[in-house]
Amino acid sequence: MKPTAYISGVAQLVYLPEKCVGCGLCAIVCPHRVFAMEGGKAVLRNKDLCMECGACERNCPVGAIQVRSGVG
Amino acid sequence: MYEEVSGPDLLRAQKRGTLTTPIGEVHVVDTQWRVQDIAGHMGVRFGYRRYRYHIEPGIYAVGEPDETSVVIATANYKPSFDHVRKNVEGHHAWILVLDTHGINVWCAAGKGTFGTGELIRMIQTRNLDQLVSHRKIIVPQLGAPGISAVQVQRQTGFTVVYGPVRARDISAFISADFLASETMRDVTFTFTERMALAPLEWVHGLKYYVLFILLWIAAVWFLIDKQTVVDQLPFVMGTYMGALLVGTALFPALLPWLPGRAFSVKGLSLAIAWMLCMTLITGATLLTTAHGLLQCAIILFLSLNFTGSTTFTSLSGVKLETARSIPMMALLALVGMIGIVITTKGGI
Repeated sequence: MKPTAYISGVAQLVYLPEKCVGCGLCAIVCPHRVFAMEGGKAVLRNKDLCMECGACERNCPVGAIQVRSGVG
Repeated sequence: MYEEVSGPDLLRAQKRGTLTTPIGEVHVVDTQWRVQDIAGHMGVRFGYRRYRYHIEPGIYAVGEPDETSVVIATANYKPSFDHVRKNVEGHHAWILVLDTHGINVWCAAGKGTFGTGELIRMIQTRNLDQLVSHRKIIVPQLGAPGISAVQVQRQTGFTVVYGPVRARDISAFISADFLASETMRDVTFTFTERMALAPLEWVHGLKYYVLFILLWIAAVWFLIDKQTVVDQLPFVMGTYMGALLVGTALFPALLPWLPGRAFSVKGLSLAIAWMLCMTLITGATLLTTAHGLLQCAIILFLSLNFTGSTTFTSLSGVKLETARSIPMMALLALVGMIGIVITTKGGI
């Protein structure tokens, strides 16, 4: 178990791959490497590592990601 | 809470004169940390001047930067700035300090104060486009929750380059032409990082501890007698301080090794372990057990409280387990307090 794994199945993260244009920003900004770039598109590696910080949603230029983010 | 900067200039000793630039005079700061910097950092960790430890927003220079030098954005929380200036050692750089009201980068980003609007405002009002010939600005990766790189680009022409998570990787990042390794982009929660949060949690709990002890003394003195206070005070003061330390220092220390993923499960486990140890050491009586139950409730509460201080918990998860834990906390506290009321008089 990764030291920074929290409760599974609760993170409210929605990713729509069909909208992805492959800019790579989500993979750069995520603090827990939830996204990775594969074949020019973003893929969700492990949704349970998401802490809902909202960095990915804020930086996605095409609105392919939705996160229910709080203040932190 | 946020004092306007008419207070002491916390960078007076770190300033090394000014640089004349196309946008005017820019303060140069050195890369060294002084005793006052280290003391200040430790102080805020204990809550001293925690909301009054900030510097004037604006542009600062490290070394002898020119129009080709890197620009690095950071918050006006002094430790944030201190970590950046220390770690650009070896490079010439401009540091763009945003007004985050004395809050660090990641927290301010979550709140929106280390935000797109503020970054755009600073770039425009300080005429960054006249200071540097390139159009890149390094923004800490943890500023991303508050920064839309696309919008900054559109409105200022500057490209946001997300830098490493930790300031200590800045130098390597710049040397590698803004290439970050996976490690530079991964947020951890190491033992040291966890323990750095403990002093403040403990100091906050201390106020309630003092209040509780005073209340206990008053209640027992006036409702029972002075002798009972004298007999039981060492036990009460000692074990509740123990519970406070368990909840604020031992919990963070043992976090990854405590059972389960929910902090309530981890916390309850630690609380039960504490109660067993405490009652065995002080003598397993109804009285000590009753106090033990109340202390369990306290430790469980402190453990849940810690979810707000981590680098990885999600709001959804915290809301879920907090709601689920309230009945347990209430039960433990209630049974404990009733037990204390019943058993204190007889010292049983």
